[in-house]
Amino acid sequence: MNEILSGYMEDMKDNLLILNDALIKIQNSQQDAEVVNSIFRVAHTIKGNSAAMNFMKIEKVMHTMEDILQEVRSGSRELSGDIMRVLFACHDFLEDCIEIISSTESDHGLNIDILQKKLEQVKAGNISSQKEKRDEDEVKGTLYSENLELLKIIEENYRRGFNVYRMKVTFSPDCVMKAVRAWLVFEAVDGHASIFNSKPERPSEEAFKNGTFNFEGNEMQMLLLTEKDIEPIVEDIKNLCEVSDVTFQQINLEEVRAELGRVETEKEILKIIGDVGVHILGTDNREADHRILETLIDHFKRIASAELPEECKLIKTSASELVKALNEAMKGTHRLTGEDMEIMAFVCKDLEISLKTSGMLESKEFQEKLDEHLSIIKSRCENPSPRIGDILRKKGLISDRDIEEILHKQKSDHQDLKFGQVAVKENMVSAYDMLQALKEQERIPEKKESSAAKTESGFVRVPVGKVDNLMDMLSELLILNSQLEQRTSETGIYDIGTQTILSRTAKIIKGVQSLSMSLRMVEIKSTLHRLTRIARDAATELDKRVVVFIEGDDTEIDRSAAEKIFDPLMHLVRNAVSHGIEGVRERMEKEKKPDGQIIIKAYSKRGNVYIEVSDDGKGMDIHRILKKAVDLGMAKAHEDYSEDEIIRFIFLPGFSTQEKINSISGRGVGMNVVEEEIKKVGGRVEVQNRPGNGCTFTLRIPMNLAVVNGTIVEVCEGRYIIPTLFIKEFFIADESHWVSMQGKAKAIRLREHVIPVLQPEKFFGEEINRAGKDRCELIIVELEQKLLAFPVDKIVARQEIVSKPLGSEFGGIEFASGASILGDGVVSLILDVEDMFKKAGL
Amino acid sequence: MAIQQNKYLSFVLENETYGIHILKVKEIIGMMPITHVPRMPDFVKGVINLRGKIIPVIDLRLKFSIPGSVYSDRTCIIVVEMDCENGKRINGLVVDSVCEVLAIAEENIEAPPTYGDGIEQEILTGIGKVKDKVIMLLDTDKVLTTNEIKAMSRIEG
Repeated sequence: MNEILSGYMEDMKDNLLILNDALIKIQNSQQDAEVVNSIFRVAHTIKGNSAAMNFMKIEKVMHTMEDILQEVRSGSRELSGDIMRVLFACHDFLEDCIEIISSTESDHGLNIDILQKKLEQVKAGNISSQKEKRDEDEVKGTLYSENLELLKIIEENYRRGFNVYRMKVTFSPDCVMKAVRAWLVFEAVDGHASIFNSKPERPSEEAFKNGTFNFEGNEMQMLLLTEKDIEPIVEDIKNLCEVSDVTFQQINLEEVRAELGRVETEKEILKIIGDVGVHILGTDNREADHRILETLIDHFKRIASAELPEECKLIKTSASELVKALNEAMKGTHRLTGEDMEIMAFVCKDLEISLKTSGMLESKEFQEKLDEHLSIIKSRCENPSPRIGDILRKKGLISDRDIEEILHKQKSDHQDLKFGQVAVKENMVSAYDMLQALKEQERIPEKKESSAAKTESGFVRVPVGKVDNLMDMLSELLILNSQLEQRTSETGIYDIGTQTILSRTAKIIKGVQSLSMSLRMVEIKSTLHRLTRIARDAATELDKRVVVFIEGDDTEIDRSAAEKIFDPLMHLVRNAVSHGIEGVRERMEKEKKPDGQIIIKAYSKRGNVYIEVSDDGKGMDIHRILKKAVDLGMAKAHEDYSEDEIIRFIFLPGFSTQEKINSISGRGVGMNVVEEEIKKVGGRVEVQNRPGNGCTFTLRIPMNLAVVNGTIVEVCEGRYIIPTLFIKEFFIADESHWVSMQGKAKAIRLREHVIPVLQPEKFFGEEINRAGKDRCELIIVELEQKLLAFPVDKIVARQEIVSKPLGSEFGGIEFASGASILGDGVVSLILDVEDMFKKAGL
Repeated sequence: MAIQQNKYLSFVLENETYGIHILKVKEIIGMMPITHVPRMPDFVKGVINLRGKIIPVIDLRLKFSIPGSVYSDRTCIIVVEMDCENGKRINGLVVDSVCEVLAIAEENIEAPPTYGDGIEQEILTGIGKVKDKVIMLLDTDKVLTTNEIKAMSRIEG
């Protein structure tokens, strides 16, 4: 793959992550302009990149996606379910793209027809609805909006018993001399009804005769006032030449009144805005005091609650946003400065303009400008002291769920208590922790800025190879340092001063080393959040309801592990949905919440990353598993098994309790695959079963894959490393332990087991020139529940080692899985335990 | 580049002088502990730690079947870069001693001889003549081929 293409792919992956994050945010109903914007940017970037790479199919899809998003962004369209669905489809499509392009390096294999069709439909759906709306607006807007006098007249006439009609006359397309036709229409109406207002405007008789009345359109609209029926007039007009259609509609009083109300509210709002202006000016450059804030809030509240027509929704939402922001400012210690006031004045100006030109609301630039001003003021007013719940959560004292629960309790049982008090009362948090958190709450401002700086600082993308090189060099530096230390002590210049310097250097090198290790780490966020999708899709398919909670998504994990654990996690989540979580009705019967909960929790502890997947479903039925295991011949029928042993059955290949195979689970590969995959990255799977209340699967994965714990042994005149993970125990054998077979010591007896012995010479393929039993230190290794004894000359040490691959020159060597550099700078081979079992014929 | 094009690093094995194209040479290091890798052909001495990288080391004496391989202070490891099917490889070559960098003009290089038993001549790119000396120019890419290794380990296994 060439450099440009791999750059493109990297970019694509990054953008996909952003897209995924954004979609999840929207699903969690955090929809705001910024999120939509971020999706828009993703579509835009991918579109541009794809066009540059000549992947025109992707470009086309992204273009349509962008169009739809543009409409959402401009506010002309809600982010409906349809759009969300199609956005998810786009996300999946892009994932496919990555796969196909990375394997074929072209976009030929992509099929965009279905998606493109879907996108077009969604897009078209919008256009038609928008168009209808615009048509309607035209009739209403042009004939009487902004005309308070006219509205008043209409209302008055209604009261007198007159009827008001709106009439539309259409001329046939080939009509000539339209001005004359229009004149005839006006004449026809005269005598039956009076014309309030019309389009085109009714010309005076002179103007018509002079020929100054010009009319080229195909359509006339007018407002008529009459006591009589409208039908005869319509008939008359219809009988005129070249009139193709006449429609009419009675305007009801409510509509007029609403319109009248609207114009009046607008006037009122304009007045309020004027008042606000006065207050703002009154504050000058000094800080705004409470009283002014209150007045402002009051004013904006009135705007927010004013009855405004649909088009002015923006004004109302803006006003309520302002109220919120100002309320926060009131509560907080923060005071509004003159600068803030200035921005507020801008917002008012924007509101004013938008009111005066209510037809102009669709203008994007205007809306953007308003949004910009609003967001500035919001960010300034936002309560600078964070909520106590957030602090507690950040400290890891409580989880999102706990917060919900506390809030719930607060509402139901302890209305008079504050959040913190409830939390302490319910024993969720100790009083001491709460006090600390409260103190923290008071310490306010600089935090905000640091987090803002954090988002701005951005990232540097570094090739993994460079980081690996850095790590190589650092470990070498550490070795040299210890050699220097040894050397100085040997040559007798090792005084206290040198010692301090050397140990300090070592410390710093170690610091840099762990820093460079962390460069390989990524946040587990993207992996976990993809699971939300999986759970959602699985639940939809099985018609269940599931809520996914994710905790600790900022836990860091080795980059390569993050990819490798996704499949196992996906299996676990799907299992939780299909086996664990019950259907809605069943849950109701059990008095559980209708929505099943899946909690995915990640944390790191002592060099390992733990990921827990818990559900609150029915848990595992021990008896059913045992029965199935017996049926499948995995267990003996009349034997006693402990609970743990029974649960182990689910990890055996081919095990499944699902009677029917569905697309999600039941093929019996699930748990076995999970365990195998996790073992590959050096991890383990543990299960905690709570019958009736769900179960928890815990994955334990070493934080850094390159680092393994190794046991160093001396054998066959060399030092070798055996990964400690596989070592079950060390054993010093004497004569009585050996079991002789056919005259050769081929096995040993260890307690009740007879364990085959693999002589190192046989393993390395060298000639056996010694008797079988002269080594008495044995290492018992375990793989897939099988045991093997490996005699060694000496067990040297156990230490963390960095595994490095052997070059292709050693492709033919099976007994070593890699090599590592030991503390003295000498290379040692890492023995492959799987190969030991192969060589022993197991 | 033009100047370096015909420069060779010369080294000695027993009493024969060999040369490696200077652009193939990464560095020259002194002898260091070599970790033995069982079941490799004799001439593969094992692996060393080159500043955190693990590279294989080949004893050229053993490779050319010259007896009497004893390491002394003058014994060196020449670290060379080789091209092979799957990218670049870095190997160490153990030689008796390193001499100098020689410029050998194109016209002073003769094609490798076609006589003899023909086992090792394919790893020569030519024979250079400098003053009264004859230098055998090695094709480092062929010193250790992947096939050779595979063949070796298959015999053993």
